Amino acid sequence: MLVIDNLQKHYGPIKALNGVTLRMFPNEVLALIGPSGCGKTTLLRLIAGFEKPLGGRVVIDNVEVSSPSAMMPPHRRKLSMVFQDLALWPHMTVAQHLEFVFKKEGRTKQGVREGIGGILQNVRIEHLRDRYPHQLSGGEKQRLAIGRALASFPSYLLMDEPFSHLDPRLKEELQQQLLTLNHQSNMGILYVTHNMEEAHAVAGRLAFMDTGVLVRMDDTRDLLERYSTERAEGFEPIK
Amino acid sequence: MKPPRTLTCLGVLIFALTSLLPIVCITFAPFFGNDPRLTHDHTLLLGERHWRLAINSLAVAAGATFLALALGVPLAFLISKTNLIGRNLFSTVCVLPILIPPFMHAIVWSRLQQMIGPTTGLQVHSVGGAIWVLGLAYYPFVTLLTMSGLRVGDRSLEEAALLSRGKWCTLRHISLPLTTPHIFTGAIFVFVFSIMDFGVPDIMRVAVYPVEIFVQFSAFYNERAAAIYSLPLITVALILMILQRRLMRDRAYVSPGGGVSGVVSYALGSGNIPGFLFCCLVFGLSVGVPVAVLVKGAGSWSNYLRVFQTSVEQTLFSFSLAAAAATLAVLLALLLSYLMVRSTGWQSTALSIAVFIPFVVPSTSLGVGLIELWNRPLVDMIYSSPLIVVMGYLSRYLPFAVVTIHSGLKQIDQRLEEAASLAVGEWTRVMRQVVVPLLWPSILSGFFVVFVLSLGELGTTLLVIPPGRETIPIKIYNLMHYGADSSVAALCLIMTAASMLSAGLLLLFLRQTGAARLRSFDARY
Repeated sequence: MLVIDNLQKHYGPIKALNGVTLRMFPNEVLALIGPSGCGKTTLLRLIAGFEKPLGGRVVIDNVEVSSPSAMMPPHRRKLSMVFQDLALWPHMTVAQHLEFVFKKEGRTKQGVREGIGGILQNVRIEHLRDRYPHQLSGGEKQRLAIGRALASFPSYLLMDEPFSHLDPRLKEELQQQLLTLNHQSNMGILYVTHNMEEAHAVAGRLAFMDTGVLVRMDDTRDLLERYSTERAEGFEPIK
Repeated sequence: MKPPRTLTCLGVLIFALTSLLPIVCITFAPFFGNDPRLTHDHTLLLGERHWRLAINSLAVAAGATFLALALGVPLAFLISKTNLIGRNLFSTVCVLPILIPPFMHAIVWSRLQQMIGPTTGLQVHSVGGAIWVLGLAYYPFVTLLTMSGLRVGDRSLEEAALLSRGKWCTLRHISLPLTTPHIFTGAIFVFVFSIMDFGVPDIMRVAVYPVEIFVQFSAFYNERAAAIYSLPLITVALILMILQRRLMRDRAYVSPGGGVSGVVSYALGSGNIPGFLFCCLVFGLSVGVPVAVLVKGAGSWSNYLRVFQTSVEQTLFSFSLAAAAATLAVLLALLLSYLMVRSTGWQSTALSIAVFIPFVVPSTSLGVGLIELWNRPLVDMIYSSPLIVVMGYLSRYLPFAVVTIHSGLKQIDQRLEEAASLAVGEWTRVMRQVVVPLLWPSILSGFFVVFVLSLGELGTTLLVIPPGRETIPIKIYNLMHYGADSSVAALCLIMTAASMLSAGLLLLFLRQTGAARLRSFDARY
């Protein structure tokens, strides 16, 4: 289980996170939704270990990975992330992206080759293994970013508005594929978006954030029925 | 939107007269005319002396480049990508070594040899000595370019790697390869600067092409030999510059106003102390040692006062020439960069190649070219005036101003200009009220770079300066040959202090401009 306990982060006078508490189960898809600047990306960065919290803690599968006094390095957290701008390495081919991640496991060359083949097949870009990111279309880049994230077999996958630049048809196709991968691999997905429809399409539960606090958490279907697409102003923060 | 045709023609004409025609003269002089020495001159490139010059020149340039890389790249990584103790201080002072001209380093190490050579066996008057001095003088170019590459990079690229591999793996496989074009550009700059340098090998008594060009022209009045010896240098440098342009394309170069915040930083752990000591050693050798040796050599305060009083004219002359060259360079660079960025097709390509040609010409060859072009009765008014020195500076350092302003201009959204042109339609007004205010930090940076480099210029100035006039570097050079060591040291320090004061004022202004922009941004959004 991924546990976020009273997490706080300030940037000077700005309280980016002001005591966020959240629990996420190993195989669920949880959507984190809220307006721009509400602290969604900051929360992901704290979970990933890119920044140190001012207060509170992050616990992954009963191991405390982030607190003001202790930080576990990002690559030991059993996490992966799909960045909003994808963060594909311009000097590496598709296969080299996956090789970089696979090699850490200390596998044999044959094992690495098979692993890369498997992932490329899963995200359906096996025919593009020798291409560089600038030679890929938007959808292919997205698949590569997902493939790279899956290559480390994470327990939890963090996704920061991953499909925001795609057309609706491609977005829907990739979302379906993501759900299939979720069922197959049994990993938890924390999916950040500011789009209610997108959240509804992928997530079982939905968490609302506003101005650095978690204001509501509920089953997606219930929440949609009750509040439609209105902004989460006026909710009481979760204690 | 296009600049007025008259202005474009005037700009291109000034550029051609100051930068291109002198180079055309020096490049094609060996192949024309009826000079009886011509037959002999053609054998110059095949003679034994030529091969010695070629080997020395290449050895000095390659050695200085390796030394600059060995010092500059680790320094840039330590300052930009780690939690090194005192990295903010190092980041601020890393521009200081550039303010000490290379010939001053050569003077310092020659003096050190006099002081400690007999006991330690230090021998700097050699190819090794020239490599050491040029490496120390030029490594900041590698540092600043590498830092610029490390800071403009997208941090999420490194974060994506950190999620699956550790920090050293990320540094090796992601950060370093992404910065390679910047590192390589720094290396090419150092190679070209070193192979073109006249002051250092001359003081270190190493026979290289630029020194030979100077000797052939000023001692034997053989401009053909000087021109022929320029050709191999121009060819090598031109190839390297084409390679560099292919590598960098439209990447930004150096931003002296400070780097972008929010880069991924690696904890050094137990490596912090060795890293700190390495930075102290590099800055100690490139700034501490020169200043200490010069302070020791300059003697008492009364000596500074005496030297200053007897050098007021030269100081004012040097500063006036450098300021004039820097002002003309930024005006010309603004026009040329605008034409390069906003025009398309062959004109843009041709201009972007032409602008960088002066960069690959040795300072002494440029001096010979200027003399060949302007030493004529019809234009004697220009040749015998300080304008010829300003032309030399303009020609040598215009590429630096163009690089700075061009990369700034590329970052300005063309739609801002288009919106303004819809409202007023007058190019000069759009430039004055929209483009120039946005480009102000780049313009100031360009001015600063040309100003500082012009202040320390020696090779071209030695050849073209009108009789009876002296700049500070020439006075230092002359005093050095007369053996006036304490005066040389005092004058070097006065010049360095003046350069550092100018740099300090500019950096302060740039930071305040940046802070004011951020404040106005906050107020609006």
